[in-house]
Amino acid sequence: MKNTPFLVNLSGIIKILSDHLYSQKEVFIRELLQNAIDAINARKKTETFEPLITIEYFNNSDGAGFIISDNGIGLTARQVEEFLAKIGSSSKLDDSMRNDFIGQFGIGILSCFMVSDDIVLITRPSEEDQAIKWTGNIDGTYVIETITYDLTIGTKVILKLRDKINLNSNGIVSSIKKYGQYLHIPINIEINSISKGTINRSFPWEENLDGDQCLALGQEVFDEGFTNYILLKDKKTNRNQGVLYLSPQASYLTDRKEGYLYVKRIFVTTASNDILPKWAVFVRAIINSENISLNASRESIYPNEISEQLKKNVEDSIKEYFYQLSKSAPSTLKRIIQTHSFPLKQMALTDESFLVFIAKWFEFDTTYGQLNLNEIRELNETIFYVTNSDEFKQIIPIAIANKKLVVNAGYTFDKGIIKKISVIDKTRDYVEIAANYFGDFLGNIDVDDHQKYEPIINDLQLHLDKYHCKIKLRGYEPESIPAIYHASIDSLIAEDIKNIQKDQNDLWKSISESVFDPQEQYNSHLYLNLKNKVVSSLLKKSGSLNDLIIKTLYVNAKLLGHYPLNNIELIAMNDNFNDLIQLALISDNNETKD
Amino acid sequence: MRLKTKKEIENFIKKCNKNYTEDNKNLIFKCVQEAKELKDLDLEYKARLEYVSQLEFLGYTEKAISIFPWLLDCCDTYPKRFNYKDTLWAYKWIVNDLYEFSAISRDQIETVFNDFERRFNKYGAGQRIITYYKMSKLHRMGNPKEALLYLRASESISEKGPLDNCEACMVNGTLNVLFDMKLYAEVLEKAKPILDKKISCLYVPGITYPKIVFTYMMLGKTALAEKYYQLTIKNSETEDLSHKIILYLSANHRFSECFSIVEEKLNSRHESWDDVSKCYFYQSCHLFFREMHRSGKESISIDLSLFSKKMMYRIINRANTELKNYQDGLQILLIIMQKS
Repeated sequence: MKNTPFLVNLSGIIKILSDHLYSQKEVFIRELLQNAIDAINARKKTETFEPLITIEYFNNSDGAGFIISDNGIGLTARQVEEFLAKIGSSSKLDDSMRNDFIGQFGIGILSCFMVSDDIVLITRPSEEDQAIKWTGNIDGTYVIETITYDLTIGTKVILKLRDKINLNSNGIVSSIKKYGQYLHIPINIEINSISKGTINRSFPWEENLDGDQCLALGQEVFDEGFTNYILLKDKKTNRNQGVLYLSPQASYLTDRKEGYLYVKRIFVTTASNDILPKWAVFVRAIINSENISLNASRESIYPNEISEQLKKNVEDSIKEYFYQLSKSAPSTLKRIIQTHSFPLKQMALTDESFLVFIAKWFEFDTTYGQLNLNEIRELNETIFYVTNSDEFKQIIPIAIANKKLVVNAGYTFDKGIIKKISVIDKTRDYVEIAANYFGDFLGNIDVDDHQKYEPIINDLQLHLDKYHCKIKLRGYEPESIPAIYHASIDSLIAEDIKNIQKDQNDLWKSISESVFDPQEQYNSHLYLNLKNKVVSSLLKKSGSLNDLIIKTLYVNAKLLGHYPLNNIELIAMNDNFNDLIQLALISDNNETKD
Repeated sequence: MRLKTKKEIENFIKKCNKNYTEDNKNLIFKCVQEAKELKDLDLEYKARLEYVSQLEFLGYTEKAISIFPWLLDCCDTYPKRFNYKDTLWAYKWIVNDLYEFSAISRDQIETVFNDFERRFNKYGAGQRIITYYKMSKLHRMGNPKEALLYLRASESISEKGPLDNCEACMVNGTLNVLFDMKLYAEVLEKAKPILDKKISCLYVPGITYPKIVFTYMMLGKTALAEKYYQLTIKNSETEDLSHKIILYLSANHRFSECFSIVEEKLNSRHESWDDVSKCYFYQSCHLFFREMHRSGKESISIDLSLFSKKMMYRIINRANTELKNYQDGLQILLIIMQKS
C-alpha cells in the first residue's frame, strides 16, 4: 500500500495561521524582536560584541513599512532554506538549544503576513563574507539570492505594510516598549529617519530600587498609587522573579486581575488568570519567568506543572509577606486584611494553617459592632452566629438588650470561615442560631405566667390566624419594645407560595396544595414582651379592643422588622389607624363633656 | 453581598446560571423579594425563573411545582414580553416532577400534560420532544409497554425541535423503558455512544451508569456490572444515587459497604425528598435488611445520633400509612431504630 502525502494549500494555510493565530496585528514586532534576541544570544556564545537592535518605521510616498535589524549570528544559505522556507521548522527545535531561545515553533515569521504581503530578509552570518536575501510572498512562494551590497553581520527584515494597515508613530513606539523594554539589549527606534531614542531598562527587582522608587514604578505601570509591594520568591527553581503590588482599593472577587507576564524578558500577556491564583484580585504583578511554557501564538501560557508552580510562588510570597508584617507592622497588615477581606477569606478557606494565622485579623459584624475574631473570643465562651444577614438585622436590638454577642456570618465566606474555625478552635463553643429557634434567644417566662396568660393568648391568637402568625409570650429587654415579629426565610418562601397559590387556577392550585402546604409547614411568630406595659395591660383581661391592639402590634412589629406588608395587612393597618383616631376623638369628646 | 439594585440582581442571576447551591438558592429568593419591592415584573420574572431552576436541581421539587405556574401566568398575561422558550423549557422539568408525588392524581397529571402538549405544539416544538415526553409519562405512570410504542415513534422522527433535550439526555431517558421491557441488549446498544463518551452532558453519563449496572446484573455479567458500579460511585456527586447503590451492594451481599451508606442516609436530610425518592430509599433499605437477615445476621446497631426524633416519627408514620408494600423490611428497620 502506498502512502500518499496530504496536499496543502500553502497560501491558504499562511493566511489562516497569520490571521487567526495571533490576536493583535502589532504582534509581528514581538515575533521579530524575539528572532533578533535569539540571534544575538547565539552570537554571544561564539564572540564578544556590543549587541544592538534597530527598528525603523518609514512612511513616505512609496508607502509605509518597517526595517528591523539586529547584529546577531545571522543565517547561512542552508539555514535560510531550512528554517524560513519550511513552516514549522525552527533553528530552536534542537533540544540542546531549546531552553536558550524564546521562539520554538518556527511559525513566528508568519505574523508578518498579518501586515505585509512580502517579507524581505537580508542576513549575513559572522563566518561568511556574503549575504543572503530571502523574499517570501503571502502566496506561499519565495526567492533566495546571494547579494554583495549589504554586508553587515546580522539580519535585517523589511516589511512593506499593506495600504489598509494604519499605525501611528506613538502606537509603534509604545508597542516596541511594551514588548522589548526589559530585553537587556538596547533597541534604537527611528521614525521616518528621526531618532526616538533607545530603550533598555531593567526589571524593578534588578535595579536595587528603594521602596518608594519601586512603588513609583508600580504607579507608572498600573496607574494606581500603591503603598505595599512584595518581591516574588521562587525558592524551588529560582527561575521566576517579579514584584507584586497590593492594590489600595477594596477588591471583590469579580474584579479583574492585572499583571504583566514576561517570558525570557519579552512581554507575553496581561491575562493574569494564567499567572495569579483565582483569589488574587488585589494583586498587580510584573513577573518574568525563565521556564514557563507558552502556546504556539506565545500570547498565553500553556497550563502545566510549571505554571501551577508559578501561581504557588505568588501565593507563598504573599503569605510570607503577611507573616512578616504581623511581626513588623501589624497595623499595616490589619489595614490590608480589612481592605481585601473577601479574597483573603476565600484564600484562607483553602489553607487551614493560613486560616489559623489570618482568622484572628478578620473582622465580623457583631451585635457589639465590628470585632475581629480574637476580640470575639475574648468576650465569650460561647460564640453565637447567624448565617443570614437579614436575620442578623432582626436579632441586633434583642441581642443588645439582652447583652448577647451574636456574629453575622451571613456575608460571603463568613459562614465557611466560622464553621472551619469552630472545628479548629476547641477552646470555644460556636453555636449557630437557627432561624426556627429565634424565639429561644428571647427571655423565657416562668411556668406560672405561661399558664396564667394562656387563655387570653389563645383568644388573641384567633385575631392573627388569618395572617398565619403564631403568638408567643416572652419577657425580654428592652421593655419599650412590645412585640417582635420574626419570619425565617422558610416562612417568607411559604408566604410567597401561598400568594401564588391564591392567584392560580384550580388545577395548579390543587396540585401545589397537595405537594406543599405552607400553613402546615411554616409560620411566622409574634413574640409579645411581657415586660412591656402595653402588653401586660393587654393580657390582664379580654376586651373589645383586643382585636385592634393585637393587630396594631402585629403590623407595627412587622414594619419595625422591615418586612413587606401584603394587601390584607395594609388594609388592617389602615383600619387600625382609623379606629385609633376614632377612639382618640371619642375619648377627647368625653373629656370635653366632663 | 448587596442585592438591591436592578443591575446587582441581574448580575447575580447571570452568575447563578447552572451553578446550583443552597446559598445561591436562598440569595435568588432574596432577589425575587427585592424585585417585588422594586415593582419590576421583568426582573421578578428572571429571578423566579432562576429560582425554579435552583429549586429543581437542588431537589426542592415541591416548591418548584408551586412557583412554576406564576411563570406560565406571566407569559399568558403578557404575551411576547417574557422569554416563553425558557418557561417552556422549565415546564419539562415540572411535568416530570408531577409523577414523583403520590398526592397528585392521574387526572391532574393528564390535564397538565394536555396543557403542556398544547403549548409545545403551538410554540412549534416539534413532534420529537412531545412524543418523547409522552413516552416518559406512560413509563412513569406504570405502562412501559405503551411507552415502548412511543419510544419507537420518537425514534422515527428525525427532525429536531427548538425544545429538544440534549442528545445524551434523550438517549438516557429511553433506557429505563427498554430495561423495564427486559430489552437488555438494546439498552447496551443504545447506551453505547454515552458509554463511549461520544455524547454527554452535565448529568450524562453519570446517571446512565447505574442503569448499565443493573442491565449487566440481569444478564449475569457480574464483572461488567462491577465495572459500571465503580463508575456510578465515581459520578454519584451530581445526583443522589444512594438507593441504587444500596440495592447493588445488598444484592451482592456487600453489607459493610452498604451499611455505612444506609446509616449516613438515615442521618441526613429527607425533608425535601419526593415520594418516589423516599419509596426507593425505603425499598432499598428493605432489600438490605432482608438480605442481611437471610444471610444469618439477626441484629445490627445503627448510630442515629444525627437522626432527628421528628424524622423518626415521620418515618414510622409513613411506614404505617404509605409504604405498606415494604412492611417486612421496614419492620426490621423500625425495630432497630426504636431500640437505638
